[in-house]
Amino acid sequence: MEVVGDIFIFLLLQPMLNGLVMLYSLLFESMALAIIALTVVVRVAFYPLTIKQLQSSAKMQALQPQMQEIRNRYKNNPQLQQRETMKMYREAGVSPLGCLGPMVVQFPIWIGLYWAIIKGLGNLPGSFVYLSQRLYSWLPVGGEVLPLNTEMPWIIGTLDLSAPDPTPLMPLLVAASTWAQQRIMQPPAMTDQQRQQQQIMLFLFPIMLGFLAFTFPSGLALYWFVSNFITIGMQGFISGWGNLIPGRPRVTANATTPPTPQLETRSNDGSEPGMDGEDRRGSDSARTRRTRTRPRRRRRPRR
Amino acid sequence: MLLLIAVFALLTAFGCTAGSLYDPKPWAAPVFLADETVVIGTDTGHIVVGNIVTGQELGRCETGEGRNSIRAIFGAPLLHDGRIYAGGFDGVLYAINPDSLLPESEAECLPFFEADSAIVGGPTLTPDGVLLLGTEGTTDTERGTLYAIDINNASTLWTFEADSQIWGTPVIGDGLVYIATLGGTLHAVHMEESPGTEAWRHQAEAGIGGMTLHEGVLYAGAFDNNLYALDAATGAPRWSAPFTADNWFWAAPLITGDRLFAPSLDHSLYILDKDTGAQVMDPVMTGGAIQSNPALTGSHISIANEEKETWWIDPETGQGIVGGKLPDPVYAPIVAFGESDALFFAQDGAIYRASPSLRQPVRVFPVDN
Repeated sequence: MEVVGDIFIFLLLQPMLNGLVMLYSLLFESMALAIIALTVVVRVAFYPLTIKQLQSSAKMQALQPQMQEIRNRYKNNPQLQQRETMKMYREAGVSPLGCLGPMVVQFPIWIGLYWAIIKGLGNLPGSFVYLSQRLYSWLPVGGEVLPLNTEMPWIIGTLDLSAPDPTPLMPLLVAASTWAQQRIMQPPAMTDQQRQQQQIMLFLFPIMLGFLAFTFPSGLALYWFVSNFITIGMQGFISGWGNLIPGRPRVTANATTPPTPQLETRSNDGSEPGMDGEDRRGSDSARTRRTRTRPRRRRRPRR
Repeated sequence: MLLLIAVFALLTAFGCTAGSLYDPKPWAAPVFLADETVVIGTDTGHIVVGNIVTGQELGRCETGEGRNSIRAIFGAPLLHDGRIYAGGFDGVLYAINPDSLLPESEAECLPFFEADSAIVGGPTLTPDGVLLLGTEGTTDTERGTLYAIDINNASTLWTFEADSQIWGTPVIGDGLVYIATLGGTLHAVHMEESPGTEAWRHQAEAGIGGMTLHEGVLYAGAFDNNLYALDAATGAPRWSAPFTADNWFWAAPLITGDRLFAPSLDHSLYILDKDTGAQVMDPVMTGGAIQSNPALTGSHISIANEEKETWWIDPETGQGIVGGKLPDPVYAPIVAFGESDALFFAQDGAIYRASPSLRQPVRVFPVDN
């Protein structure tokens, strides 16, 4: 376990911590600007992966109606349901794990960024010593920039980024940006149950992160806010602002949505889909839905 | 969003929440109240009295909360006239009668003097009964204050405002007191004529760590990787150039005979000629950064490093041998005990006793168990 920790420190934490100190030195010795800049740099560096992840999840969202249809049609035959779902993915050229790959790659980077900010904000003797040992000796900046100035202008005069914000402003900014991010990323609900879940999530996460921002150093809250802001921008760029700005229709990743596969009305074992009367009744509606789910004419993505 | 939640969940699962930002470490050297009785200022804000041989706690009291709700004592306590004086991170200097303390007690320590901000270094006492104490300054100014306090009535005799935070213990010289700041200024302040006025200052390129005053020369290590030797009366450099290491000098150097032993965060213990600053022999290369002040224990110099190693160096030959390994690193100054033993206040909150002949350090006092 210690080896894993050392590798994490060597490969991720240390470069990010040094990057933070370097940016601090370049950006007028302002920790706030350094945190914003480092968050932007990391997000920009992983822009291709993030786009890939967002596109992949947009494709998955676009297939939701078809997936729902398969679920309804084969609800008594899970094996067939799975087979048909996989077939749909295959025909659409989508991998259900497609959005996980980029996420997994970014995961340790986010932890490194989190830790770099935590360690950079430390202003106790112990954390100071830690910082001293993690700074590259070849960096043009070193001990002379320490202790790092963690103050930034704020509505109450100054805000100490190493301490929680005594005002509710930073937690509110975090909560609001989290809500906006949730809102813009939310796929259209297929069922009432899904809609209810989405509504709960829409408010649960912002409340949770807003509460955490009350107790964590405001430097971390600033990082969350900036990170949310960037994600909102990226998501808006990919799939439009429809969820966020009323009156602007959502463009569901048209540029990336694969052609919707035609669903078969007959299952592979030759039987009619569904074995009971309810399913047979459902077959009519399935045909109706099939008509609806044919690929529409592509629109150019909104930019 | 899910990614963010997952990251947070992982961090929480590993205990990696922001608590580590506000997590003080044992930093204060144990001080002997009697032959076997020590006083310790802890990273949890307690002043603890205990028997180092039996491991029995004799009493304790608790200090208040400082900035970011931190409760800690970073500087070594001072003993005078049967009382313990210790500066808390809550900005209060406490004066405690050790006989009034009870074991495992949660009683509050008795306040003696309230400063403007957190106290990180320890107090020092002049022969005239003046307590000297530095603070780290308020978050608005970040300029530490040196207080001169009458030990008889806790009144402020004079103050001196430093250029930045004071984290070290003031060092007393001939009519002058020396304070080091994180801004890299070493101030020499008058104590007798025009008390509280600056006699001279030396500016390093980064914060200054430990200082040692020896025969009219002030040796100060800094975070700019330099070790300075300055004339204590005038501030004039005593060496042709400061000695430069590959990393910071955090601990105070130790002088024995004509040699100066300076530990660095670059893992080395440098052995210099105290008059010229020239290396007299190869440095002792240990396996980790050295933060704690070394101690002369019998015929050896004892050091500990970040890799939890204890080292014993022969000051004559410069030969070092690795002793037993501690369970955690040591930041607090090492204290000599008995004829050849040393006490290490490790990061796990316990005091260990070790000697060159002892294969494994022995846990003798669990300060915060």
